[in-house]
Amino acid sequence: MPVKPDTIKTDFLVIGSGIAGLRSAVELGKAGEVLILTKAP
Amino acid sequence: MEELKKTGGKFVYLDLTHLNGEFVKKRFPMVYSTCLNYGIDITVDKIPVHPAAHYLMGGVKTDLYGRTSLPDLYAAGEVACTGVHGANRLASNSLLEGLVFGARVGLAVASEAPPSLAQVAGTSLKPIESSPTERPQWGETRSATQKVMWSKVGIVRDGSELKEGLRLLMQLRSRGSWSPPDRVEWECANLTSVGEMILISAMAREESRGAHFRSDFPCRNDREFIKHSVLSKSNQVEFVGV
Repeated sequence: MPVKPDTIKTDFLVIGSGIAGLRSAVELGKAGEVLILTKAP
Repeated sequence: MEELKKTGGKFVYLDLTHLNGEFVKKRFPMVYSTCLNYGIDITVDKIPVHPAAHYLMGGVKTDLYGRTSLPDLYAAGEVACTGVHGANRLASNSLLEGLVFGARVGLAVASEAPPSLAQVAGTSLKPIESSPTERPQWGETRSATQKVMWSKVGIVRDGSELKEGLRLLMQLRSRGSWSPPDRVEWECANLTSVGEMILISAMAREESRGAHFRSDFPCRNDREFIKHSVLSKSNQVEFVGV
């Protein structure tokens, strides 16, 4: 069965949880809410 | 590569056995344990090796704050092309992309006024439905793409092989509908698009420089090519001064 995703709202969206993504999230966390999307299990 | 061609073998040997065993274990602990997993003790055995491209210098074009050509979209890390590495990026310099540009992008995004929700509300994308159906043909397209990239645009390149590689990729692309309905197919489509851009850029750069080696143009040509290659939707390579 296909899954219908919910709508999520956030200030900043970081796609990927490599070093650059995480390092940018550290800075963004000081300015607002951050959502990180990752394929990593 | 020449040696591989001469012997027709799948690898050549790297010999570290003249070094002190304890030194080798201490200096290369990862290589030591990885090889040991394959039954090779590098303190006494020769290591089978094969050259490969370790990094692609290209990526999403950004300025030194990670800004892309789309408003409110930033890129940092392996996906970005800041231009700081020139024609080759040596090992460990990836830390610059990750730590320095990751932080710079974070600071830039945080300080540049974000669009209000009302502004972007009209532009939201249709949600992609995830479907767990297995599609073996996509796995096949994916590995076929990888095979083309490995054999046609590897570390030694030449014009006719590149042309053939591009033909093969375009053939693969025409197999699918390419209006991908879910993540698996999007990834496959993206993989082929990136492959095409690498091939088109490698064809246009008729010289050898850094990690890009053309056996049909083995010399550096500073008169024409001290430039970055920029591709846009038109798939035309534009050479832009550094």
